[in-house]
Amino acid sequence: MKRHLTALTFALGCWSGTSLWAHHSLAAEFDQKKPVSLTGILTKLDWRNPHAWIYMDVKNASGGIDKWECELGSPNAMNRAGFTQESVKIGDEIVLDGILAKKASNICSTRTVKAKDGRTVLSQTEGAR
Amino acid sequence: MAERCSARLKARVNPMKQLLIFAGAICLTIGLIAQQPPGGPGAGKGAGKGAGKGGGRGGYQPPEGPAPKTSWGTPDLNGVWARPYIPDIERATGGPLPYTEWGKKQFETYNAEDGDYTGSCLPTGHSRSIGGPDPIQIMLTPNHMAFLYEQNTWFKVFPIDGRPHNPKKVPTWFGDSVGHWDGDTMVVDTTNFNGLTRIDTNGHPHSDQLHTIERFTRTDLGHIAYQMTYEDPKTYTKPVVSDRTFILRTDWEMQEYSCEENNKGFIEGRIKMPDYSGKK
Repeated sequence: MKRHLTALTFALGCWSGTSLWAHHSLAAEFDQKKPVSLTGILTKLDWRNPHAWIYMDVKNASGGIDKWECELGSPNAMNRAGFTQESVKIGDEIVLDGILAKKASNICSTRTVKAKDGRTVLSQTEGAR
Repeated sequence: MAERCSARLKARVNPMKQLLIFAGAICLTIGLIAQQPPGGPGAGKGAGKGAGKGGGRGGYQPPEGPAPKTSWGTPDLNGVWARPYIPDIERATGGPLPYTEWGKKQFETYNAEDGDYTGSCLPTGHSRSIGGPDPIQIMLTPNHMAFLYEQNTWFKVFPIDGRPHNPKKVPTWFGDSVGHWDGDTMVVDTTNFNGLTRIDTNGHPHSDQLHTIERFTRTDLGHIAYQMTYEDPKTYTKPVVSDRTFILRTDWEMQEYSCEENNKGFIEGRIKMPDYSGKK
């Protein structure tokens, strides 16, 4: 299992290192060796360049709510890839995979966002390029 | 990154093999996706098969047909073009890069965390723009050529009437370009860079001695064969040459792109602007 996790971490590292939509080096802000997977409720989607941002509430171990903010690619690129701000709705339960910020808590760079049924609803690594 | 993936793949043994091959495939797939396609005015002219097909999430096919000509008789380079994303010039050219001592030191000491000019919305410069993931529209007149970069809504316009460089211009992020036709190939020669940019996202260096030569050949309706040559004796012992293919996207339109508007990482202090005081 540990090996599988290592491989998955490695795969994510490869993936995030070649993000198609970043307008700058991810390494300036995020740590590709620290993947994160979050399940929670979408509270806000800020669909503006150069990066859209996802805001979500995630239940923590003690039953409280942690507020997370996660960067996406540019809305321009995501629109071309077929993702829009209508792809998700406030209040949706989502599963977000990404990498953590180096110097801040509850901040991440998003790779994919999936709906409860497993459909990819937002991504900065899939699409038409 | 691909090299890192390959090295790790070689080091692994059976139980991990399938998963790692999958991981490698992800790297390769993303690389290939990045090689894919774009269109625009002038894009669909000529005796081709329409204006391209598909779009959205994959499936786009560029239009087919012979290379079109402008009304004044030169090859037509107009259109919105997708180009391969080149985050790592070493990988794109089959590396390793022929560093000078100075160049090697510049690369080895680069850390975007210490200062990221593109993350700060300073200009990426032409190399990172032509090799970037966002569309570029080329506009051509009999005497001028323009690159309209969607990223940050930048542009560059320069003469293509064969005139020489103007040495009195101020050094810039995108350099000073002049162009001329070499048969059916547009040759764009650029000098006078300010030396503050990088060649690619990974931070491969260049100096203010950089001289680039770009060759644009419209091979057919849907494609441009593109070659970029970097000459920089301060950074590299010999020219670095990168061949790429541009794909016409008739289904894309240029969009406005503000870098400053929602650049939260920089606005909230997680990305630092480089300190250029005393640099050069």
